[in-house]
Amino acid sequence: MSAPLEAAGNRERSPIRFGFRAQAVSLMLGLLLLGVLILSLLIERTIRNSYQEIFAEQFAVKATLIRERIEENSSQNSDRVIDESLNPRVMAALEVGPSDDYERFFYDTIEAFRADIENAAGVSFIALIKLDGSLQLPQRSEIPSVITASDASSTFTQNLLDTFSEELPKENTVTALWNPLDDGEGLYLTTIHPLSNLFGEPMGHIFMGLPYTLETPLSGREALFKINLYPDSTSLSHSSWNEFDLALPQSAPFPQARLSASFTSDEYDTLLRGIRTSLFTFAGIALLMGVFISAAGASSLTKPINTLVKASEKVRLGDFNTRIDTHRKDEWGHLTLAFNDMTEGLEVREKYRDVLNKVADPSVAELLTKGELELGGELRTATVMFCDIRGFTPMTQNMDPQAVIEMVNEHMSALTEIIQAHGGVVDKFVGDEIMALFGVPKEYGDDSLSAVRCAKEMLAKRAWLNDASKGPRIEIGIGISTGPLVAGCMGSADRLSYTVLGATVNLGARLCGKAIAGTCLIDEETHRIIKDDEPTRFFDHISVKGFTAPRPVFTLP
Amino acid sequence: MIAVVYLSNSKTATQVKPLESLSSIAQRGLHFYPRTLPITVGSTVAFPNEDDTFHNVFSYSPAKEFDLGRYRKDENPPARTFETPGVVSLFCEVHRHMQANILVLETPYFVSTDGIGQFELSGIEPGEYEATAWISSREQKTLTVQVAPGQNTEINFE
Repeated sequence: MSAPLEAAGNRERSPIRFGFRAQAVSLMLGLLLLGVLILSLLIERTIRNSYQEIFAEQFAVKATLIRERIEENSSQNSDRVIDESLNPRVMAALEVGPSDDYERFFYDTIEAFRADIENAAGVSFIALIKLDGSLQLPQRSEIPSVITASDASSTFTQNLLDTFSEELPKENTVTALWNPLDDGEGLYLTTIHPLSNLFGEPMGHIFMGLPYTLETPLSGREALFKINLYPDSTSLSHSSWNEFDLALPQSAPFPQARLSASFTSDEYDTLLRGIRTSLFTFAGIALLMGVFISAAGASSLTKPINTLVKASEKVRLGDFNTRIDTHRKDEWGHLTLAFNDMTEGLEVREKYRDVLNKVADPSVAELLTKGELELGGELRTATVMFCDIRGFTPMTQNMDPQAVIEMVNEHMSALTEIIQAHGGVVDKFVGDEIMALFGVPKEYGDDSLSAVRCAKEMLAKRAWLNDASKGPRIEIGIGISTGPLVAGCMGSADRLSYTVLGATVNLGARLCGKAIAGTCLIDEETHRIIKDDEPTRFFDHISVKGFTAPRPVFTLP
Repeated sequence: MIAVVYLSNSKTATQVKPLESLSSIAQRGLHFYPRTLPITVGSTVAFPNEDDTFHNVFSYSPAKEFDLGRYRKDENPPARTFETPGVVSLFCEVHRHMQANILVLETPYFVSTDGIGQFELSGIEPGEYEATAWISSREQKTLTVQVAPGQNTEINFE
């Protein structure tokens, strides 16, 4: 296991704070709230509009009914009033006014007249006005007060949805008198008729009050209907009859009654509250369902994520054989397949690395995998060791090939182990020969000494093996040389091998060939370096190809 | 048009006396006769019914309020004495068109005009008077007139 991977394994993973599920739920909640709000506003607007339309329609219907009633009443009464007003007692009253004996006068005249007309047309209030506009009958104390605009609106304190208003017919509708009616609050919608005597002389006016109940519901229990007086008047403030008769001069236009209806928003509010409650309840239920559904949906998302995380962990620990089963056809399926492809690729690479380690020296393989070895060589000073088996061909001539392979493998493995233990690099095996390098590609400083000591151990090992093995004795010879050489990856870009070239290499091979079985020859340079550390003795002068003079050669005792 | 003309000043109220003879307003042919009757304060007026139908004479006037009730010919109601000066409007409850006025005056000098409005008053103490021509409740005309001893004075309300 290499160091970077372990470092990656130790890196802490921060805990998941705002996970996928939370994000999904938040988004859903936000969208739901927005939707509910928009829906609520739309519903409110629609309901309000429809309520206003309904109210406008109801008001129009009601106003028409009241107008018709007034007109009908007026036409019904017109002749009768003219007829009745010629009653000598009415005439007398208009002529001279009430005396001290008011009650008798009232019941003899006005009350009889009123009762008569009430039977005919429902008029329940009558007043006589002199030509000068002053009140003739009945007494002031018995006159209902004039309802004012402020009275009409002040009793209406609820929230208003809308108010409609319309003037009543001008010809004969003049005012409304506030009075407690028998069956509740109400008012008299008053019509006025001019009075003249038999000779056509104008004598005064008669007011006839038609009772109207104020609480005229239009729709729902909260809607109120009002007859409003003087809504625009600033000069006429008719809060009492006193002011009323002053304000009623002969020729002045009579104050106009106005029909107005104010509609409370109560019913509308209640309806809207109900709808809002339903809407938000529905939204709440939908939200809960959404949370459950999204939780389920999120688990279908988080499950493969967790699987992937676990699988990645295994890969991190070196199990490149990890695969994830999936039958999904969606993005998760694709992701899983990609993961499988990745681990497969990693596995193949790992296999290659294994193979590389086998075919090349591990340290070379490592440099190669790190990309630190490039195509092309460099001039280095290093030690080269050659080691071969003496009499290998005659020895193996009659042997079973399988046995030969086994024997060679055992021999090679044992020696390779020793070379690597001494920091050497096995360059290649050529037949029964091992070529090893010390000081390339990595330089340790005491490479020559390592080579020499390695050779001694190899010889000892071989001797020990020969004693221990029941097979044929194998004698080896070793040659070591030190000097300048070209080291590097050589070959084509597709097929490389790390090796060394040069005279030093040739010298090493030559020394190996010259070495007597069970000995090691070292060249002059190696000897110079190691002579203080290892005992050596002079062996001979040997002519080597590429060297002009014979070279002094030393052997290890 | 028959009107009543009378003279008044500060002294006339002390000079006035009830009429010695009984005045009357008759109901004749569904009309009051006379339509306007001047009397002095304290005088008494009878209301004989000369028609073959019911009449019901009444008044709401502050000067004299009364109601005679219904009565037929020969059921003559009691005569009424008028103590308060002023105009008393008479109506008949049965006949809406019937109307008459009694002028209760605080002066001895009064007269009804003839059909064309002419009148004559005599035996007047010399002095300055306010002359009133009472035509109806809504129409009166007044003049100031000097009456000299032994002389005829002409006034014209036109």
